[in-house]
Amino acid sequence: MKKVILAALLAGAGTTPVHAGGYTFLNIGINLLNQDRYADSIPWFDKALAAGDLLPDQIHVARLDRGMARAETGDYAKAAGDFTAALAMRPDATRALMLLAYAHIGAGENDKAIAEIAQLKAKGAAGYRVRYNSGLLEWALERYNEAGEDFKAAADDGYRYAWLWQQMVNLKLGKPVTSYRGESVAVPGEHRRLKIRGGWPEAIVDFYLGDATEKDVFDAVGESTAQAGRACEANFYLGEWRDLHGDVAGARPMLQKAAQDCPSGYEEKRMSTLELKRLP
Amino acid sequence: MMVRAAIALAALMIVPCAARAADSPDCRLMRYAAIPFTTLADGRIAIPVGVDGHPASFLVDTGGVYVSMTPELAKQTGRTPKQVDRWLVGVGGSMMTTAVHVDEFTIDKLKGSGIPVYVDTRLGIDVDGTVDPDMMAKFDVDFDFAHGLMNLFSQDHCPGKVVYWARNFVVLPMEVRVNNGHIRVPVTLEGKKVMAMLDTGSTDSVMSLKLAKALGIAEDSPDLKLTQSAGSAEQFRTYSYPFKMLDMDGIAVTNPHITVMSDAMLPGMGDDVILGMGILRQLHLYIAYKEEKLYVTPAE
Repeated sequence: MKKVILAALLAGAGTTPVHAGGYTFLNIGINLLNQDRYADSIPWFDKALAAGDLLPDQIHVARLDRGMARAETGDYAKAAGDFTAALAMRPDATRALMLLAYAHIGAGENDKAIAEIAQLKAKGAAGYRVRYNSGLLEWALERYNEAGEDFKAAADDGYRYAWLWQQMVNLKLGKPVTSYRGESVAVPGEHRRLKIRGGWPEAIVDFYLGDATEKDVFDAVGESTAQAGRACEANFYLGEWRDLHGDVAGARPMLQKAAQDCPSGYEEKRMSTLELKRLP
Repeated sequence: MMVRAAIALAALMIVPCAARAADSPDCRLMRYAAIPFTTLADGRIAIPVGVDGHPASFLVDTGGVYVSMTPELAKQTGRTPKQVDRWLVGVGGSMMTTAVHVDEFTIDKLKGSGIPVYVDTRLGIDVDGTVDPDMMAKFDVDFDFAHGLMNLFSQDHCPGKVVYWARNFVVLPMEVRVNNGHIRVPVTLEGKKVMAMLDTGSTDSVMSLKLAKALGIAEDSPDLKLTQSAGSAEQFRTYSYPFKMLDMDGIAVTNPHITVMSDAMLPGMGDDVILGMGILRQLHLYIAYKEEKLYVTPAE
């Protein structure tokens, strides 16, 4: 067949396709967003939405993604508008509701965020992921008692990251670190159980329990092929530990590294940025 | 690239229900399911499924291996995860050690029963599970990304007679890996032939530094820019590189965004370039698993 040329990243190529429709523009925007090129992505979402030929599902994701890009560039008011529009199209979209709450927190509209968190909790009383995420929002609002309840509920369901956040809340409130249930499995073919160790984020759990040092944690990062995510998490949770123990000077560079290096989509990226703003 | 298999689990079964019929002699395709999908914020797609009567949304992951679901969905369906002898290792290094047996798993009008499903605690908030090659490879899978549709067709059709949406198309020989169902096709990158693995579970496209060198990209090339580095010996590194063109025998993607990773970050991945949704979304793909052919046109 005759050669067909598709431009994967027109922004990089500096060209515009002759017959491109909204779908092409949407793809460019998504690709730029996935590369954390937030400001670059916004005009492509604008073009995609203006083209007038997107499917409802594609309009939804264009709104959602443009909102994310706008929030990342600090334009919380416009981001909230996009998330609200996305929610209107798909009222059951949990992510859109979460993002709307974050946008309202960013804009200082805490009352609205609190109402959205209540909606979020009403959606997923049985789900650890929703409780975990509502806990993060409560933490962002500095409502630590509420955050602690959410994290405990998610941790009791076995979510290990929720256990870490539960301990951060405990330390924030001057309470002791609680015990860790851990995870163990029977060894196939043998009459014994093996505690899963070395499984991430066990090294950080051990650190919070006082059973590991910072070096142990970073050594565990170094052994992993999933290092980018682990390094991000190590810097974030150890940085938080330092901050919670009054070592602001030690916490800052670790949180800065987390904010810079965490893969997009990791909540630790958003939360480290937020925590840095709070440091004295 | 959601899940990598450590050891194989018993094969899943999902079969077409009463609609099964012989293909007509005029070579028309037999479509079993037409599934409108949802696009996630990162561009990946999820389809509606039914798990023991509970509606759920499952990520479509050609780079995974076995169907998985969240512990929450297992709980909602009244299933208690049980330990399995064969463990799976997730990308994040987590161990998936439990699974549930689902009485009824539905995709559109298709129905399967007695299906073992791994339990994955790492899935994001947007999805309840994953649909993987163990299930998809029993059909021909048609991804019409631009029109928001995933179709499942019968694998019994006249050879080469599958492209119903376009007059001109590219057909590539396709290798389906026996141990994990992954799809590999030959492509041309920077003018050189390489094998590509199609991974709808990955947002990004990636390749090893070893493969980059084989393409003539020197490690000290000024265009190869280090973007991240970690590990005790800085052995885990990612790079950006301004690739010019990825060509699928006539369909070319210019300036493809492909992340180069140090070999330590891609153990066991061989010399394939992994094509994620950033590139795949621009195409219309018909995966003929049984025929071992991939039919490709531009998405629009």
